[in-house]
Amino acid sequence: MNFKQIGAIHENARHVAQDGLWVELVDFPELTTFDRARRALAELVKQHSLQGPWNELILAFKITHAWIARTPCRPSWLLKQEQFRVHYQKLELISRASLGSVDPSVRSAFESVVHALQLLVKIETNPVAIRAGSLMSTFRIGSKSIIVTRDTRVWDECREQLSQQIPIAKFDIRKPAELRDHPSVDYLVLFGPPWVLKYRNESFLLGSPVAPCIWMVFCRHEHIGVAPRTILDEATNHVLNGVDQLLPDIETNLEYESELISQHRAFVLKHAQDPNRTGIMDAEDKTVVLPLVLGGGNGFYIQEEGVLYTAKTGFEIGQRPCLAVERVDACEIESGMLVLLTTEGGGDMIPHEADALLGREAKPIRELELLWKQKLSDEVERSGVTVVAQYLGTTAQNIKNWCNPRNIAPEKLEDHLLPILELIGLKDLYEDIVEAIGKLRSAHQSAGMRLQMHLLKSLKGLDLREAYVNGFQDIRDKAGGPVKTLYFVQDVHELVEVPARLVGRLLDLEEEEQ
Amino acid sequence: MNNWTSHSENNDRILDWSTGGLLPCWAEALVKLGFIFARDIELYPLSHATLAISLPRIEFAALFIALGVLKWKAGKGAQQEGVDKLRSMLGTWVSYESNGITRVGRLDYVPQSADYCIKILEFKGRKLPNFEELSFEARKNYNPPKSGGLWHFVTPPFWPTVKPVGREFNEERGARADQVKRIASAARNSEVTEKIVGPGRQHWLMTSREKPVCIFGSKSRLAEELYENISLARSSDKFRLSDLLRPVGANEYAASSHVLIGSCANMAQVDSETICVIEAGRLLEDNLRSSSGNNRVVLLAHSVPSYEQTAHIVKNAYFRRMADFVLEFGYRLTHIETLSFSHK
Repeated sequence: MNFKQIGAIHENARHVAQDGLWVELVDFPELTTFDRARRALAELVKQHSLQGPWNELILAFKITHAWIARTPCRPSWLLKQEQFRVHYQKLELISRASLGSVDPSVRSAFESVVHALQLLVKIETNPVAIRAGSLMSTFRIGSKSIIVTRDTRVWDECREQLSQQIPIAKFDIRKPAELRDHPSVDYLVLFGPPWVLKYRNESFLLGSPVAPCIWMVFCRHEHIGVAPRTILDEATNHVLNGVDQLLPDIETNLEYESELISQHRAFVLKHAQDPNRTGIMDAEDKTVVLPLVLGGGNGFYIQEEGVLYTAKTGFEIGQRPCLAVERVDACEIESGMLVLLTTEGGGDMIPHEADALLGREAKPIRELELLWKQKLSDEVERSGVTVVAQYLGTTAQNIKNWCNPRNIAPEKLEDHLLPILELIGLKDLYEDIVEAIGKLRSAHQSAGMRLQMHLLKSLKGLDLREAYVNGFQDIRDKAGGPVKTLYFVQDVHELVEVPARLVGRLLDLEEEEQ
Repeated sequence: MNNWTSHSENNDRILDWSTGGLLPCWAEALVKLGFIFARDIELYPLSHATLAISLPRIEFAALFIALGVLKWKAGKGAQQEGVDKLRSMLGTWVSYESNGITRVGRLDYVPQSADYCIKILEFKGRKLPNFEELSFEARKNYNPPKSGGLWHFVTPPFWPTVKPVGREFNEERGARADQVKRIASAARNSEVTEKIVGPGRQHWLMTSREKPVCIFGSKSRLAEELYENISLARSSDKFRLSDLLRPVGANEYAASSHVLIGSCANMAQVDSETICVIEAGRLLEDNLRSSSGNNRVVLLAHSVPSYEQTAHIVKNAYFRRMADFVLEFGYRLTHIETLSFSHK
């Protein structure tokens, strides 16, 4: 952002600090009934120490309440979505399996929740949307507004519901993370009470505001909480509707919220992805790394002194064009950045590019390379890989790698290549082959760098919004070359020590355990 | 408990920290914070102070803080240069400014250093000759016809306004075309510089080799900010912060660079006199350890993902502060909060 844009954010912050936040309260009796019922059930489940599916059910109710209360989506639509259908299949299980064996008070509370839920399912217009619509109708004509919702799956529904309420309104929907570097607009509309921002680590929406006027739309039955203006002085809170807020006890309410659950997701790797993980782990070389939690449920360990490419983006209407690609030290990586990682396909293009660099020399070099690899493959076929490996004093995996045309040659030429050539009867060509390998390696290295630079150049100007919205975005250069993926950095954890073989690989995050 | 700035309200006005509204108020506030910090830590040289600033965004903040520090340093430097210049005018007829009015009088006393006031026997009530038409010597020897007998005590910030009556002319020298071009360009820049840093300071900025500030943060972003053309308010003039801060390592400022810029990841040891401006990030804990021997300003920006974490680190450091020593900045802006304390 340039000086002027930074100045606009400062000016917004001054307005927010002086005038505070604006709140629009929504009356939603059906949801209030559901909220009371699910809290009562949660109390009883705790009181009777019920475990397993009961806790999952309580969580499902927390999520249901949060989604209906904090989005303008129709409850009838929301509860038909996949994530809710899965949760509510458990309802049936419980009612069939364990409802008969629990205390009558629990059964009665459960039935109250189900009844409240049945009423919610019938609601075709969310009062939150109606209230938000009437609020937005008061915004200046021609002003720019941003609506914030976290989950992209509900964006179309949000847009439709708000447009129905106020067809002429112009607004953009953004994820909170997109607003860290967003230029200033006129209005920002958030759904949910102020305290939620703190627990979602989204206080920056108020501290570094993209608009001078921030509206928070939430249900009257919700706990308002407070939003501290600065950590340096946590007793100073944002004023709401022109009134100072006293510090209430919000801790007691947190157990009824789903927001906290995602805060402590562990950075672990899928077992399936790393079959050698157990058993030999203690004996392995370990290294200190920075764990990066990336979009799309991915993880990445980068060495403490490692370097990554990041894409800097600007803003245009509905787009995030790439302005530049920069190298950053691992220790400078922060959440909210886009980092560039190679995924697949680069190897396919490198030989062609390398051949172009080698020119007329390419053909004889490739023929020589093919000759010894073919003879080694024939020998492996004739005698078996284990025998060949034993004869050459190496592992079977190494022999397989050296037969593969993608692998140029063994690292240690004198120790490994010479015995191979002796075995296959090409010892006389040793010096020619070594020279060819040298040229080939150099050409491959240059080709890789050229393709990389080409890709980085071609990134400039590309719309990278998908990476912000979905958490990742595949980038393929028009001229071919490696597929790179830009990942949105969701979180950066503390330094840890992990086996060296896990470093620099794209890994999946393990499913969240409830 | 020492209160560093209980005396400062009047001094702030006199010391002319302001750019006269040429910069937006948030930038001006940061310049002022840097200025006051640099000034106040000199009053307590035996302790080391931390000033934490919580603000919406990190961009440009370190550079404006550094500008404030340089303004203080340049003001001091200019004052000492001013003493020498004033001594050469002792006993002669001078013009000077006071309360926005240009006055004239005889310069009768100049102290050894810039810690005291000069004395000018103020002249009032008679029509003055046209000094433009007088020669330099004639102007120096001009004898005021009458004085009201009042001594005017002029404080150091106003010394740059004290001039021999009329205009000074330098001896003409030959110059090549490129030199003329450069001088003309420098003159235009120096006008803008003077507008921003205040009168009498740009000479120090252009000539001194002092490096009173070191910024630790994102080097690439800081480099972009340094060279961005910034428009002044109510003016068509533009300036680049690099021309004022004169970063170390840039060839064009090699002879008079003032600000070192380093990475938080590889925090270099700097002279204990240097003020460290640290852009708080995930390495803040290490950065605070490395800079414990320096006075420092820590910038905590809400837009930085590690804001909460770093703010808590600063607060912990605050709770471990020297118990009997708290700095208090009387100055604050609505959306920029400060916390200051002695850490050593």
